[in-house]
Amino acid sequence: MLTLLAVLVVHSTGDTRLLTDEVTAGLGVFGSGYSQLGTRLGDANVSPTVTGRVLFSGFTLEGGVLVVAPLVRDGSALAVTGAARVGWTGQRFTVLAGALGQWGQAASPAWQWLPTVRASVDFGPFGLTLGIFDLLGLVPAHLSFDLSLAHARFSLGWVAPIGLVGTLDLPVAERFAVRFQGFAYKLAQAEFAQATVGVVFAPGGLR
Amino acid sequence: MKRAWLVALVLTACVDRPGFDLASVSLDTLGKTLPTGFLFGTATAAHQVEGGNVDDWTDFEMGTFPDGRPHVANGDQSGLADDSWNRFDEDLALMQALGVTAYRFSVEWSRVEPEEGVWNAQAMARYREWATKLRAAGIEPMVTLHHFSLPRWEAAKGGLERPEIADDLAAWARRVGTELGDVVDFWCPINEINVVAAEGWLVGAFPPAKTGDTATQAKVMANLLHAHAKMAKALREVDVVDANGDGHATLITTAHHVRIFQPATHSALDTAIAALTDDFVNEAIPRAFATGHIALTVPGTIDLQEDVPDLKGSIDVLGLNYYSRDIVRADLGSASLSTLTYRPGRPTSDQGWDLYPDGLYILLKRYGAYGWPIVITENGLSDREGTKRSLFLEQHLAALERAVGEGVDVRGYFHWSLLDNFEWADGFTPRFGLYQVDYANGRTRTPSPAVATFKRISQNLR
Repeated sequence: MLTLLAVLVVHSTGDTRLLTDEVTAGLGVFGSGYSQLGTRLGDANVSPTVTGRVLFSGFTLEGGVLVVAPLVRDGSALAVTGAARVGWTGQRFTVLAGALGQWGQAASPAWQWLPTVRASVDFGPFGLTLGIFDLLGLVPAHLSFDLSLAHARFSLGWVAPIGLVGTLDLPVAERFAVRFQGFAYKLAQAEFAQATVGVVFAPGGLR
Repeated sequence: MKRAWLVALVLTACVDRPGFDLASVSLDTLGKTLPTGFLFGTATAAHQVEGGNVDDWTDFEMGTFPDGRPHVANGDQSGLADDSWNRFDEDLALMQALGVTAYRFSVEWSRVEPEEGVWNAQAMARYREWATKLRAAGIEPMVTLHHFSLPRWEAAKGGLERPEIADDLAAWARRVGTELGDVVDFWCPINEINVVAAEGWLVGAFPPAKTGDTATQAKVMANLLHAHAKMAKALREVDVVDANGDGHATLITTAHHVRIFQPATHSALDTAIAALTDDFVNEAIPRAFATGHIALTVPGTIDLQEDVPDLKGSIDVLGLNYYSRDIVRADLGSASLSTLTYRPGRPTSDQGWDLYPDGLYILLKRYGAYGWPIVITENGLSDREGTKRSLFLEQHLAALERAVGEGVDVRGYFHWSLLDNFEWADGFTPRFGLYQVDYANGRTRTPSPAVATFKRISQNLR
């Protein structure tokens, strides 16, 4: 929450770096479960997120909150995840690392803590991003290819061990974009998928 | 691969919860659509009810953990248990009062072969008498040959850890099959392969009380699957008499313990560990029966792959023991990789187990896909006051009947248990019986309210 406030009041200006100050809000539908012969245990959830990022020159602070609320009775219970990452952002790279804590209503122990990392390198026409427990922990590991098009930013990545993650930002104003994001992957016998629609607000202008 | 992607993508739009309203169950109709000849019975195990057995559990019950705690809650020892060894006729009368059509009991190896190669003919004769009396009463006997306990001499040789246990159990099955084959058709060579391995080598609550030894846990499971294959082969060779005239001299099952493993949260870790746990506990054994190949895998811990001669085709019926649901929270620091709890706010048994009839429906649908006929070889709860068992019975039978209505071939249901009894590491505290046993007053049997419920349902069967 502090990060979000900081974005709104302390955003940096006139400094060309790989990342910019921004606030995002999204609403997704998330499903997870596992399949066995004949049946599947799967849960559908609604998953609102709010994230924020602020840069103090190159020093970068990033945070967010994800709520995963069940849409059906008797499945996985309500869970709330908070994440915070710090790091450095240069003109062509960024490295952010931190922790995320997930509280589960029906979980014992109630809290689960995980590391979270996101690192990107810009090669000019394209870039690469590595994420560990990224997207507020929903994606355990991904390597994505980032591309800036004339009227959009696009990212498509591989989720380990097998899956895909993609993001499309479509600018709708100087400081606003609409974000479409989704992933689907399989880990052991478990399966995960999410589709999210959100908005991106960059007080200093979209990059 | 394409299918996996489709499944993943539709997860967001679909859910798979039965969600049926069990409050609308009517005792007037419950069970009426079950197939003709449906086995409706109760189950027990020798060490838990007979009394007077001297086996590896007898020694275990007298022992303590390194911290001084007794191996069994309250320091209980099975001792005389329910004295069913001497009160079989009384227990048979209780079964008749219930209206059962089947009874699952175990033959105690240590009683019949107290020393290696030394046979107690009188004990075997008594089991034969029981099976004969049951059949005369119209009650189909199902005989379990290994229900957790071992003779002392077998345990002293290394018990279930030795690969040679498979040959010893096969010889035991051959002996019993020869002696009882003309009065028994339905055989369960081994009870809960996954449980005996987990409790003995992972949790440490059963002999030999080892903890965190997942490699040996998997090896024990493999040894017992080898044993099952050899026992089934031996039984089919020696039991050639079709005692009930249904066209089958032998029907071989297993009593496979199954649970619902539900992730505590949506997180990748919780869900993946729940899936791994489900595969190891629920799926590995039926898959081995279907393929003849054991594949036990836990990343970084267990990778056991073995072909088992004669395992494929070694069961005619899949037996399932179902009790409850576990909520799985990932814990990568523990040998099991998880912490298992029960969902808060749910109806529970005296032991806190989630009473979850939906789980029975889910699992019947799942295992029905294998194609074997299914028998519920155990289902029950601890309920000392007897206030929950009736509803439990109604709800679980309703779940079963719904699965049958949707095409699952379920041939029987055995309630655990006929009597309160010695509940292994939990001692005499949990009360699982349709009939309550007063251990302080001559082990008198008193019907719980669920006896009337059971009887009503049995009257609806065709």
